[in-house]
Amino acid sequence: MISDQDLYQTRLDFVRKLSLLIRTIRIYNPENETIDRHLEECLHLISAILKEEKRLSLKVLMDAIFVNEERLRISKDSYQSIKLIMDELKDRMIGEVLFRWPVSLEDLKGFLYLLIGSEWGNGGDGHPLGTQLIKENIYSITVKPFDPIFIDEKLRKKEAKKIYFRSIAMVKEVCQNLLEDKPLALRKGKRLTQSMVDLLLSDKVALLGLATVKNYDEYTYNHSVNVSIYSLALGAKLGFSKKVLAELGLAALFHDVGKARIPDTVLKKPDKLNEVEWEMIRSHPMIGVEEILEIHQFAEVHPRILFGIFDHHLNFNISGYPSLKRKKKQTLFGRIITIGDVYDALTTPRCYRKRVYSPVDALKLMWKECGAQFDPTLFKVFVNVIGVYPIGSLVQLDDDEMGIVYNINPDPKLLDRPTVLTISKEGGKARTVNLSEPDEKAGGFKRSIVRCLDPKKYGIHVQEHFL
Amino acid sequence: MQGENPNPNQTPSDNQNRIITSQLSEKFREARELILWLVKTIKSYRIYALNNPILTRFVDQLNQKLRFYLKKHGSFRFSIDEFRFIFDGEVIYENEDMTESLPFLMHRNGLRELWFDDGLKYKELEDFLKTFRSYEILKDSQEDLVTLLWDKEFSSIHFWATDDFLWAPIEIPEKMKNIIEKMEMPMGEQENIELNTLPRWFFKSGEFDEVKEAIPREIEQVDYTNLLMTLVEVISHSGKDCKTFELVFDFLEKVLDRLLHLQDFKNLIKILSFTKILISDRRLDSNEMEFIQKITNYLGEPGSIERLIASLARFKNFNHEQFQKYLCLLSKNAIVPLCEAWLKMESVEGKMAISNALVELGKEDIPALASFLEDERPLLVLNVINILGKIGKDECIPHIARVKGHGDSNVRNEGLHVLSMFNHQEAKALLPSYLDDSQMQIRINASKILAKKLGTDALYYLGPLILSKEFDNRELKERKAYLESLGKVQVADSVRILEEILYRKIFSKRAQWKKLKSCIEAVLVFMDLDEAKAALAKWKKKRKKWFFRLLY
Repeated sequence: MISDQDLYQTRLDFVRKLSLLIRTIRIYNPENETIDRHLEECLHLISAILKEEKRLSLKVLMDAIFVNEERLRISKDSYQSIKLIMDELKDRMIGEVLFRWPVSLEDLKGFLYLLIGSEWGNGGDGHPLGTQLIKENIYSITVKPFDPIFIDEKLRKKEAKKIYFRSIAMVKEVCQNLLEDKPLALRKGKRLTQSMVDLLLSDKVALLGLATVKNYDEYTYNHSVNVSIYSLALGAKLGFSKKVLAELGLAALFHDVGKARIPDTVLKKPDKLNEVEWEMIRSHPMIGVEEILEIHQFAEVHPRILFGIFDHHLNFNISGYPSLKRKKKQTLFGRIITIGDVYDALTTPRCYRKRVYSPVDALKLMWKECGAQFDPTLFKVFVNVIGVYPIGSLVQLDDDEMGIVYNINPDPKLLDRPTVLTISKEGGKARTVNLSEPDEKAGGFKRSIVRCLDPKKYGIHVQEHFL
Repeated sequence: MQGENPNPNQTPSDNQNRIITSQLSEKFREARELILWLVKTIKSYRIYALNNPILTRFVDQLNQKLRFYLKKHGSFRFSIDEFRFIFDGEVIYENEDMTESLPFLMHRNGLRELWFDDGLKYKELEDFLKTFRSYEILKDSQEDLVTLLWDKEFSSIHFWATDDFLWAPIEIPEKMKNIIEKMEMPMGEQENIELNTLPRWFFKSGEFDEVKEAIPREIEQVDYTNLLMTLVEVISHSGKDCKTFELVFDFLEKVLDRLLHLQDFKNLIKILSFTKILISDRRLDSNEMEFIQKITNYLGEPGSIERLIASLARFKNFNHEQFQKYLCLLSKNAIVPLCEAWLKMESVEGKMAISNALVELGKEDIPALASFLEDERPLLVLNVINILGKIGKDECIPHIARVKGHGDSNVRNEGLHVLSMFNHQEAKALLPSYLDDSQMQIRINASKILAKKLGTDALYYLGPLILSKEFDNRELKERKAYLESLGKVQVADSVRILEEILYRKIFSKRAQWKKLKSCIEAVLVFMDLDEAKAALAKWKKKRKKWFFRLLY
């Protein structure tokens, strides 16, 4: 029997050796002797633990590594190794690796190459690592996915980024496929929207923050994803089920799909559009519906998705387009998407508009149109979702410090008191400040927003703080 | 035997290993049993009707086993390979038959791992199992299993699904400079916002709760009237574009199929009622008109009716009232498939609803309905005759007349009864021909109907027949019935005919004649005519004389 201390040391040595092995594999080619030597040493440690404890589990929970349920203490010497293993597993959404007796050299080598060659737990050919291991007949090593409840903020942010950019790529692919008359992959859209919904319900900020990304070059794709995020946030606030949220997200993602058929010369024309060009623009909801109907031949499209696309420019008082032969109500999906659409459009630089509206200005402008273009009730819900100072707004605090609105206050009475990420003008380290923190001595609040600022003027890239 | 080593040659470590192995294999055995039950139950859900007791037994057993396992081990988790389930790194279930393999079905849908946690509720398990049933039913509509499971929002059942595209590498800009540098336009600066200057941006107390209450009402139900209007607008804008027309209709077809499958009569009624409103709109162009007519035609097509009937057969307790209301709104092309559906329908109320709807629809196309009078299935012919009778239009009469020579006596009899419901001369003229029917009962019925419907005119047909020699050869029952019918024609001539028979001299079958004469006496008693009373008195007097003559 070895002592607990020795056992702990063996476990720690195993993690260190595994970390070294991963680094070595990255550097040397597979035939290199160094790899084989490290593999043998690592295998020796694995066998020792298995012999002693009959099992070997390497688990990642929050910011800690556990070997056989014992947390490894991070010291100056072990930090690099533990960090590397933690990052490797977290990056691949792997929560646990289980080694079972007998582990062969080939199994260990096969596992490590599959792990390194994979992204997000998938093996080289695009399949999840667990499946890949079975395919390679490696049964002594199994992996389990990361339990979502242990996903920390950093990881969520990373996941949000992947979903966000994947969605943009998907919308782009959909639009390009449309022009080439290729079938559209609705299932892809469904999966991404489902991921967006899951993420939004666990961490609203991660996605709403990303909606501050405004891509001038690929406006339509970027805009579609942003509108989807705003619509989902609004729908979630209204208490929609996940099913309905996924439909809303998909409708918003495809709301401008009809624009794919409109030439760039019209979409990006900096001058005033002539009547013919206007007519083309006005036709995009109708074209969008036709495109979605085309998809419908291959997959189920819920009528609500159709409503979202058809109605998003109809306006609350039906004064918009397409012009109707018979009056009909703008549907709820249409009303929601209209708000997200206009808000994102106003806060995004466009070739034909000299001024970008600050988030606050955009809300003020939209308020004037409530009852005509927007549903006044839904507008209020939207303000509740994104706040009076929406996420991504650059603000000046009363102590002259600048801050980026990072999260809104959940208390509707304190919508003007969000959490901000302070940025000192000298470029000091950013920290989060909750503006609803009361000043117990003087009364009132410790800090308040004085005004909104133009990020461009101060050379601040707001989006970078959400990426 | 605490503290004693049963095998002195065995090291403690080996012993420990054996215990762990046996524990592991026990867990594996339990898991394997659970998997087998899970597979069986899911298979049953794909086969049996929801109210089948076998299904309930399966779910109960599975629930019991799962609860036991989860209580003991905390969670039940397994990976999904193309044809195998893998538990703790070992194959626990394998089925390579692509038509029925559960691992294959799950894997094809992107499911890679499934796990159940302690705290699993019966309802949740049932919903999970039902998802596979829904998938089976909806698979033609391209609904995927992952979405159906995801929609359910399970709290103790989790899965890990993947699609290859989700794992494909994606370029994520670490720095946004390229994007941001394009944002050259200035953004306006805004002084701080005083919240009290914008009070209308915020909800008053309780206002948001009201909104949250109202919104689900709007979102739970799809507004099919709005959908129809939207689609008509698309048709209207597309002009003569045939492709758009086909796409729009194809979409609507799937929506309608789904509603039929769900027996959502409320919304189907809404759609059909709205098409009737739209059709009366003078602004309709030819395209729009064609589209609307196509909707009602589609719902009346054999395929749609068959789908609906099949769905009704699965769920027996449907709303018959709504069902009938819906059928009544269909167009006349539904007549033929509905007649077929009537035969297949098991529920009596369902059959009645179809018949009632056919009465309404049949008014539009009597020949279509009447074409079933030539059908070989007498039950159906009977029902169609009945429906034609309920329609009650004179143009039904020649069709009903056709069944006079039908091989089935029930059909002929029904034809007679239905004809008797018409007041038209043509129908009345057809009635006497039934006096020649080969079946006695029909002839009897015909005599009664004639007396009732033709009144005095019935005498013209019944009189000569009753007085004919051939009539004497008929069965007593028939003769009595004819005489009773004659008695119902309340005229003196009837009395005269009755008297003639009453006084007829009898040479044979005296017992029969006696009964017949008693019957005539009874008939005369019930006739509300002075002539009848006089005839009866005269007859009684004569009988008295005969009696005394016999006595003395």
